Amino acid sequence: MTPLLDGSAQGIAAAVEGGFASAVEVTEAALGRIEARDDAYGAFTDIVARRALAKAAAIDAARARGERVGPLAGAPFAVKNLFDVKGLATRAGSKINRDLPPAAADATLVAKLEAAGAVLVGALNMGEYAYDFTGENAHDGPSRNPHDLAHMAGGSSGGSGAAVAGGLVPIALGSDTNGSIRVPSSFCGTFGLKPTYGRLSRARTFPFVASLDHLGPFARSVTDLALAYDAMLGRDSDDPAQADVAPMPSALTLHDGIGDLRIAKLGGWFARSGDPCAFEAVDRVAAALNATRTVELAGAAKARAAAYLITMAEGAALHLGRLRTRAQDFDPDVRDRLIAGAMLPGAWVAQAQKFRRIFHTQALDLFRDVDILLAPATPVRAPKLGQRTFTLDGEELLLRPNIGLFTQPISFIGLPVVAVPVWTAGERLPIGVQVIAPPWREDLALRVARALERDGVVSAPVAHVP
Amino acid sequence: MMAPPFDPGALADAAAPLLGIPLTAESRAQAIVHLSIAAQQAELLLSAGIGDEDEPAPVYRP
Repeated sequence: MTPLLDGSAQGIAAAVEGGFASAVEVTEAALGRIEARDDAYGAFTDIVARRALAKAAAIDAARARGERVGPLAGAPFAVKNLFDVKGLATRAGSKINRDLPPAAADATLVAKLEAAGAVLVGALNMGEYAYDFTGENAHDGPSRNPHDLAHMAGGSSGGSGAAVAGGLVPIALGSDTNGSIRVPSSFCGTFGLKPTYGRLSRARTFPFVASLDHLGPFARSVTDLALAYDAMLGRDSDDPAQADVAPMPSALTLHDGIGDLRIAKLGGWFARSGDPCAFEAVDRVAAALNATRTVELAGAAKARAAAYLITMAEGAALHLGRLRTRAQDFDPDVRDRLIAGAMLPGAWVAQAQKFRRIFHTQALDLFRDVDILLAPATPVRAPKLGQRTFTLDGEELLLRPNIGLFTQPISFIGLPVVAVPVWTAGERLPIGVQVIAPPWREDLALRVARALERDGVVSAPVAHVP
Repeated sequence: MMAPPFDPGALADAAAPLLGIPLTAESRAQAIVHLSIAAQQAELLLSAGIGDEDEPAPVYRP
């Protein structure tokens, strides 16, 4: 079963569909691998073995009856523990939420993946209340980077990155408010998709910043990323924030190559304040795509500032009651940022929302002339666990607030992004590049990522067993 | 008229009791660090020349 678990969800589904493996066998093997390896990775907080085996048995029974079993049949997946899983308290990385009653129903995206045949095996570690870029958690311990256990998995979807990179599951779901899919993808060397803001349903997930929250998949192949994304498309009346936009599946064009797409690197803000390796990775991707142009998003620094302020204020508003009554039960690093957020002048936040529209207009103007933008995903490779500061352009900065320098301006205006992992000979850890598309064009970002994967420029290998 | 210098300590001390948030010495110190970062971000943002007629991004649609 090892080759199947180290391979793709697509490969597992083909094996189950073709009768070469049963869904129960795959699920048992995945549960055994999680049991054997996850003490090292710290990726899982909950295992739902009974549910998983029952789902797998249902898939095998459906196949035996000659029914279609779905494009992800038998593929194990897991979700960041801010997704509702029926029967579990949705802890969202916190101690406080463990007091909530068990969820009465699954999150919409969990149900959609299961409808495509995937098998939920558990819930994943995350930074408390998603206010985190490190993957560390004061209550559950850190998610560790499977490629070097002394290093961060990244956050806040740290368990999602670690579970996929560690070969525990081929697909995981995470959330991304300011970079929480793209940062762990960069640190752990996985593919990650942050769709357009409003594209996928957020129903029955624990929020952080309503203006900026997105959900999306992690995977070790672009095809799996696209399969998961396509399976999760569709209007959901349970999510009032979802946009009324027609679904655009990516499968039909995924393997078309870059064709005549106009691709450019982002300069300015996106070409400074990082380790050289971050920019070298962008250069390698750009060279492979014959992208010679560099363009500017002039308002990026202000966009990042605005995203920062909206996050502080909306996050604090969400948690104000808990800050009043249960301050001692928060992770101190999260609590004190939220306390500061509760004190922000309202005028700053109102101006930030005005600037969001201005910056959105700037980006749409740029996309008249370009189809895809390239930028670093993180300014550095994964820092060591426990590291508090890093030095960028000669200035020592707090690490937690600044890992998202390059992701925040992009999610601020909700653009779809695929994070692709770049490896350098002699380095144990990867670093990611953002492949950024115009609003609602996830298909373009996935198509470019697939072309890079096909040409061997980017890849997401399973980490060596610890 | 020039805005007075931003004093995060004064803001924290005034706002915490108004918000009903208990503030330990450790939390106060860290909140001041984060308010100072926020003030730097706000200064940058407010230099953007945002106009009176600029609409904010989220538009409520009844």
